[in-house]
Amino acid sequence: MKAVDDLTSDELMAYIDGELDDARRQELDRMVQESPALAHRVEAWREQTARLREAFSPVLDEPVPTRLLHSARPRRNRWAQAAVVAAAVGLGAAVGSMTARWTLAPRAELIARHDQPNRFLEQARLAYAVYTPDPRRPVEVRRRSALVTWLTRRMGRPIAAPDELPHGLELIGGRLLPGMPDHPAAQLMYQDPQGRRVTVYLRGMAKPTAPTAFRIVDGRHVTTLYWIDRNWGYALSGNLPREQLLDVSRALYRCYARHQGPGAE
Amino acid sequence: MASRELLIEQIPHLRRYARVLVGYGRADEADDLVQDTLERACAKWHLWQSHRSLRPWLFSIMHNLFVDQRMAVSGSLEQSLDEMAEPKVAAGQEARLEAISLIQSVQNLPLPLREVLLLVCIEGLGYREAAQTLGIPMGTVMSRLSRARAQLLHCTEGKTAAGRTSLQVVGRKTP
Repeated sequence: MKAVDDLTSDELMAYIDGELDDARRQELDRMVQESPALAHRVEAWREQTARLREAFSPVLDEPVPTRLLHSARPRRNRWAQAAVVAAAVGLGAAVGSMTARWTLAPRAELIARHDQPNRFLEQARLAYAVYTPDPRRPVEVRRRSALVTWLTRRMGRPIAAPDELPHGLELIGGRLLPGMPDHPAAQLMYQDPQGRRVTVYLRGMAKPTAPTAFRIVDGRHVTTLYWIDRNWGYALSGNLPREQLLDVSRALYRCYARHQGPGAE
Repeated sequence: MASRELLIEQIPHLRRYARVLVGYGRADEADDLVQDTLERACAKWHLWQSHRSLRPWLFSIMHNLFVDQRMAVSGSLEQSLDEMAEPKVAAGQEARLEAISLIQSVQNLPLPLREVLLLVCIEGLGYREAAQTLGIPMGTVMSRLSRARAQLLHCTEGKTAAGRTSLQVVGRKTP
């Protein structure tokens, strides 16, 4: 039984998974026939595989949700796509620019051209002022996993929402907000043990924008600390001492610098 | 076949992989991941070479998305206890009970092990294909697979309380 003793468990596994070449497979076939112990083990693994396939097969027969069917629309390459768009635009022009969409498109572009840090800051502070005082519904989604999945999909990049930030700030939840054309904004809200609320507002800039260092803007009831990195704007607003906000910003900055995924621009 | 049909054909398999990744009790979240994967695949469709099988390509997109999202959330791939939600039990399905306990055992395996188990044992991918899908060496696929199988056998045998001393016969050769 020398041959059996020399058999590694990796090789036996490769045998079961059909990964061996024909010659070696036939040798193992013989060994298994001759050794009841080996046969027993092979049988146990095969049975396990069969049971696994059976247990995990019902999902394959479930009806596919329509939203998934709608998402399955492969695009051709960029040139073909551009041609389709050009054709549609040409057709639209021929028919006459009667639809709102047709008149809206150039205007959206015009607005985007004027996007700048000031506008971003204004939106962030406005969103803070509107939503933090709301006692009952400060956020739209509370559960973090749902929030992250949703925002990540809508923003087109991984959105980090750490459960906790420095100075006892804990995540309450967040919401999606209008930002710029094609650049929705996200707001995350945190609360400290004294009940003070802080928001993180972020969105992609609508035109290429130079990165900035941390900047602080003081208001009457709110201080905002913001920065722009890789064409994304981040603003932290709250009624907390500057030093504390700076700590929080650093934590956020590290978090986002680390997790800026392939979807980020 | 038109590319859209090719893609639609893969959706059930993507849903299954997503459930193994996200958690079997969280079908909606798993479908969110499928949707993200489909959207990403459609946007990158020109990168898919039609001589390669479509399913492993889609699986690798899903794997990467999942890892990115998970890293973005927690900074690690450790799963929390609340992810191990109980799979739903349909009434009057005693035969399914065993399957459900098996699903539960798979769900309790660490993510890297259960991914390999799904790709090779359930989806029937070759070691090389599984390695490409996950972006890891083939040797890692094999060692994870053998650990997954051993842990699973241990689990299910623990339940039937059948010790198998005969399994000692085949040893692992030390390299």
